[in-house]
Amino acid sequence: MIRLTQVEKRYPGAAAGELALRKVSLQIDEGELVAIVGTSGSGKTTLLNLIGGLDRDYRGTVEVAGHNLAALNDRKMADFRNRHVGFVFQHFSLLDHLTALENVALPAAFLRGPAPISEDPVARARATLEEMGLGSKLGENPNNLSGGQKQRVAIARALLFRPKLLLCDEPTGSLDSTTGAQIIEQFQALNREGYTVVIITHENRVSEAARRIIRIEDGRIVDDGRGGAQ
Amino acid sequence: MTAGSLARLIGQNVGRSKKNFLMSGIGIVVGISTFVFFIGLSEGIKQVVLGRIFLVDQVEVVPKRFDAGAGGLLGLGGGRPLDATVAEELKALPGVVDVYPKMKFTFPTRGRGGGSLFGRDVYAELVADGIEPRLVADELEHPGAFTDREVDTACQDDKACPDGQTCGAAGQCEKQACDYDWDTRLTACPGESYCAEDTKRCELPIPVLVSNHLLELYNGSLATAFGGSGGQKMPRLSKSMVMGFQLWAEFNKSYIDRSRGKGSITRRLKLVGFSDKAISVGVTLPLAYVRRLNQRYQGAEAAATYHSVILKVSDQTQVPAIVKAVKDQGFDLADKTENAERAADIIKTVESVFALVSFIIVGIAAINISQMFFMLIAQRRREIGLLRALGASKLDVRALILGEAGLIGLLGGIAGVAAGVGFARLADYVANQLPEFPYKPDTFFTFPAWLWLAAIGGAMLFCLLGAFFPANAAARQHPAAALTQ
Repeated sequence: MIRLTQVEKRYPGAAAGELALRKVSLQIDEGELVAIVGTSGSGKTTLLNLIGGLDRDYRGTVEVAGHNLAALNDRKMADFRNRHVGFVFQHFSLLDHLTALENVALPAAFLRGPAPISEDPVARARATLEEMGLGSKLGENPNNLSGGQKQRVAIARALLFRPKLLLCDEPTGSLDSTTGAQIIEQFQALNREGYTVVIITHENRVSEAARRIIRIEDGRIVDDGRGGAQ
Repeated sequence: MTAGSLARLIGQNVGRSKKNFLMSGIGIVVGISTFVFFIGLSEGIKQVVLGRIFLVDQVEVVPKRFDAGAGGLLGLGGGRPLDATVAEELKALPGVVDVYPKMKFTFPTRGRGGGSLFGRDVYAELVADGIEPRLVADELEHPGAFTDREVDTACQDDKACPDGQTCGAAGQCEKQACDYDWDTRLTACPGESYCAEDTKRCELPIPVLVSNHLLELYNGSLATAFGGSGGQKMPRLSKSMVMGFQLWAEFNKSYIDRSRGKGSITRRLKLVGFSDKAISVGVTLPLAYVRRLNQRYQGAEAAATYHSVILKVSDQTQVPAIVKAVKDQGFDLADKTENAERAADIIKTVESVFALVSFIIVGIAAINISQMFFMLIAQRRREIGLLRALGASKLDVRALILGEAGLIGLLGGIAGVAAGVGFARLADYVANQLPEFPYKPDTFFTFPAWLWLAAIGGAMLFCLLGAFFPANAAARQHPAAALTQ
């Protein structure tokens, strides 16, 4: 599903030896639930950005879902993100001027060519929100939702086109422990459905839920072991 | 991204930033309304000045004039005369579709009449010229009325002949003899014919045209000046009131030069129509009458020399080339044509200045829009990163920003056009409260279709230009960096 080979990343303006990622090689198979943990500034979000095609400035090879990302032009990369990757962010990243339903259906606006799902995207968005217990909040703006509800809307958005890969950056970072636990359960359930889930986190309760924990420090993978959920 | 999705996102974004866009759009509205108002005004004035006062679809050629300082003082005035040969040469110029010679009276004429209109007869020196009837055939209600009525008419019986004529033995209509008497001269002959003192025969009135200017000048000046209480009142006249009006003309007689009068004849003139091609102040006869009268009083040369030749052009854009060719051949342009050119130049200059001022206003608004978009993009940096994460390409982001700008331009342009037309209507209303004056139009404004397109298209173009750099900056944003902001 994901294969990184000798990947190096240096941010513009950084000193020559100051690398955010240092010769990282990694393979994540389809259907895995992986937690990437590390201290702040260790390079975990950088790693996620490279896997998700949000950052193309690196050395080495990044292959995701059969695509060598370095070979994709801007349009194809946008299409890759649109169809193959679902993002979930710490601060939800919902658009306040849109309703919950419109937020979930937003990726459909950037669809090029036939949709990767058989249903109408708006109908799929509605169904996903209802599955997540937000059927009564379809027309609500994010400002009127709780943190947990917002994150479920964000997850529903990530699932719109049923991507094979979910990339989550500190998905429980803005939630209380109870709500955070519910969200973690949600990811476990999605993983059981067949989604490959990669979660960036520095919280033990999240990493413990993963089957595999990759520890990263100073731009290097220092540990790649089994998690608490195995 | 499909057009429908793009339109929906644009609408949503403009809707949530209404205040910002409204403030920026005001500049566009002001600029476009200024543009529409002043260009509409220029076009309206152009229509009056170039369509009614100075005609620009024709060039009037006159013999070369010499200024008083040179040949004039030495008695060398006058260039190559305009005659039938020259008229043919001018007709051969590229862009000239036809030529119409004009000939003026080369002798004085005085007129009297108008008792039925003004209560008593008015006496005046009469200025007249002659034109080919075909020059005005397409603009007269009854083109057949403005013709040479002295031509021989074939007949088989008297019914085929006009008033005052009978069918002669040679099969041609002949003027009836009559007994001239001052008191009965109008009733001595049948129909509209009258008994002429010199020929002692029934003559038909000579058809004449007057210019629309004359009626405008009369109604706008004389009738206004003499329309109040006290003294002789002069009524305002309409075309229908004066159509068919007749007056006496005494050829080779003058109120100014009383020594004249040798061989003078008196004829009746009948107004048969109005034309902008008629002499501005005076009457215009069919050319054949003028030619015969000039022959009678000044000889063969006067009867063969035109005072000017009107060149009918195929297209207004050909006028400059034709004017140059005419001047190269050693002729001048009539004052009217030169004035038309000058008026057109002045109007074009004023129009250009107004357009420039309007576009400067819109340009400043575009700079304001540019700043607003830079500000909005800074505010929406994280959101743009999110859109990229969800599948928006650089092109999508650029299209989104430019689409918002285009929508502001479209709405601002429409509002600007509406405001400009509204101000124009207000100006017309105010102008309608003013007293009448010559050539006062019903509206001072003309809004051709291209003006709508230019105004709305210009507004959109300036907004798009204003948003061009912000859109590029937004598209170039690094999605990962934007998301971690």
